Amino acid sequence: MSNNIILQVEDLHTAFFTRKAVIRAVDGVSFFVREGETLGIVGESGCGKTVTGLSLMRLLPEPSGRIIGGKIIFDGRNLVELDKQQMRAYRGKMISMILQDPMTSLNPVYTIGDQISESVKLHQGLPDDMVEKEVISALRLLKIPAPEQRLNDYPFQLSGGMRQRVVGAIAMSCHPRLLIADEPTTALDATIQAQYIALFKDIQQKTNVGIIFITHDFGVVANMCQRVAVMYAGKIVETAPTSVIFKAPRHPYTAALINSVPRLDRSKDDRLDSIEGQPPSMANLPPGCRFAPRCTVVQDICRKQEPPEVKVGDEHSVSCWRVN
Amino acid sequence: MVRFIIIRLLQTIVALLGISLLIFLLVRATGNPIDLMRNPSSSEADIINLKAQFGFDKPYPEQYWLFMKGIVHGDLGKSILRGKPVTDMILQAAPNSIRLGLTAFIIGMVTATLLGVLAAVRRDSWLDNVVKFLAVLGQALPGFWLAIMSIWVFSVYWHILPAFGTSGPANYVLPVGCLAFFLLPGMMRLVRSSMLDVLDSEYIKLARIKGLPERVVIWKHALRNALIAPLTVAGMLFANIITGAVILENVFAWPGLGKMSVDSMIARDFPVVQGITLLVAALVLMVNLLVDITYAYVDPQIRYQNT
Ligand SMILES: Nc1ncnc2c1ncn2[C@@H]1O[C@H](COP(=O)(O)OP(=O)(O)OP(=O)(O)O)[C@@H](O)[C@H]1O
Ligand code: SF4
Ligand SMILES: [Mg+2]
Repeated sequence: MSNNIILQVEDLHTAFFTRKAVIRAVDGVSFFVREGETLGIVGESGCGKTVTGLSLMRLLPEPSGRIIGGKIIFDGRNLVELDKQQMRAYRGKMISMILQDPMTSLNPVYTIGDQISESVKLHQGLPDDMVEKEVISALRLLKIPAPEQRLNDYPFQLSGGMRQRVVGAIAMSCHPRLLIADEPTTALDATIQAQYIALFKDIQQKTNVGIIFITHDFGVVANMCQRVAVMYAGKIVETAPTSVIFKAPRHPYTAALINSVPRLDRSKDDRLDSIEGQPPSMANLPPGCRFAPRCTVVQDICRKQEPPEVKVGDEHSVSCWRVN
Repeated sequence: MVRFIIIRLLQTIVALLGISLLIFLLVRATGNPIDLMRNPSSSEADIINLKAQFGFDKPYPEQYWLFMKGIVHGDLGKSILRGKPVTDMILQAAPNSIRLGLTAFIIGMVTATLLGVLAAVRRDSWLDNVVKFLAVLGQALPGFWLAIMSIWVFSVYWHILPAFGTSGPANYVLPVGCLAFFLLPGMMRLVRSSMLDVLDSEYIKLARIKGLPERVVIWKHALRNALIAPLTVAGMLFANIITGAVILENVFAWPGLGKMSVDSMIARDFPVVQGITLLVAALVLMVNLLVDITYAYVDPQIRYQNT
């Protein structure tokens, strides 16, 4: 891992303009990713993880979804300012993304070979025989057995785990510098999940790709990420190196999330299975701290004013009144 | 794939046999066709003579055997009305119908697909609204009414298109247009809704993530998937075209099978009716076979399941 920052997101705001309401799904989010590093984005369902990922790709559902503020600096350029044509040149080549569900993210009517070579042809402009070599090397990178034979397979002929590897191969086929993995293992069963994560650690070693690993599972974070950003209701409430956050979480939400991870060294009664209550509706946020309605250590000020972000250590910041 | 085609071909032949039996029985179910042609002046001897001439004095199994033997030899009997071989009459009229029907089918399908896709891609745009309006209109308007109105507007009122005859390309515009309209609205709506589903899918998202231009995302990745559902009904839509052709050929005095079948039904010229019905049935089955093959080509899962 170098110190070379490839992605810097500054105060990103993304909203959905629906008939009923304006939903600020991402509401002032900042983080950065280094080359060869994995940043985890953790949070409960609906907190804006996927929308953050799609914002980076500039692939929000049209016409309702829009980036309404902030910067996405990738490789020295602000992606928010690029036009469609320019942005397309980044997608799949410089920045890739893996989606959550391997069963639906491959096109059912085209072969694996076709779906991978399409990217290679588009971005690398290679002659046909070179294309096939690249495709096979992408399949090899993802440790897909007998890659030559897989080229003519259709997605429905492969297992879920294998399909997700193919999606990985598509993502890695043009040697991107940043990979956004949106809960790529959630739909897989435990052993396959562990294999997939090990695989990506290995790929990262080989390619030095920077990874944003989106998950709702702190267990996965411990295994995969060097740093983590905890997201709640459209905001990042705490960001820290993984080792620090497990030892000393500063935000009550982070602590609760870590507490809800099954651990061997704790008895069942000691463990919260999930956090009490529901996250707020994104169309109707409470004033002050968004976590206040569920927070066990809430104070008066929490319900009135939003807590500012405070730096509490090396690459460790928290937004919580308790921390001041 | 080859096995799939062979199996479907065998199924088609079995269905064709079944249909031939059905037609054979239906023609005879309403009583002896010769009895229906009886007129007060014909003598008992004339009737017996006629029956013998058309083979109605023989037992049913033998009649069916002769009927089938005839079909195999391309002999569909003689027209009662004209005395000409039915095969010759059909061969004369069929090209007119095929030109009309096929052109309309292709134009209808292609236009419906194009409009359906564009409407889905530009959802809620003016184009989408036009497509939705056309779909409702198409379902509400009877085909013959549309045909008559188009004659009135384009031929009678504006004098820009001929209403009758088959001499030139201009003669095709109205009949083909009206006939295409028999399947356009339904197909268009199907393509549109199927396309909307597909555009919402994860693999379309992935296609965009790869950086593919929108043109490739829509016309390669989305369209092929979006056609799977509408294709299942394309065979039925072809049957629509045939119904439509029968109506329109009569409205436009188009010298094809549709007009011939109505004329012979009115005249109770049963060998002709029998022949045309058989031909149409065979045609519908053939088109369904073609549709199934296309379907298997478009959707690899079908191709692999059935082999
Ligand atoms: N197309 C859309 N239109 C309107 N609102 C949307 C749309 N997509 C997402 N949202 C809103 O944005 C918020 C964040 O959604 P997002 O998909 O990013 O959640 P997530 O953190 O990825 O959750 P999960 O873990 O379930 O994937 C949600 O509360 C949702 O209501
Ligand atoms: S700001 Fe207050 S309510 Fe919010 S997490 Fe901290 S203590 Fe809890
Ligand atoms: Mg998500």
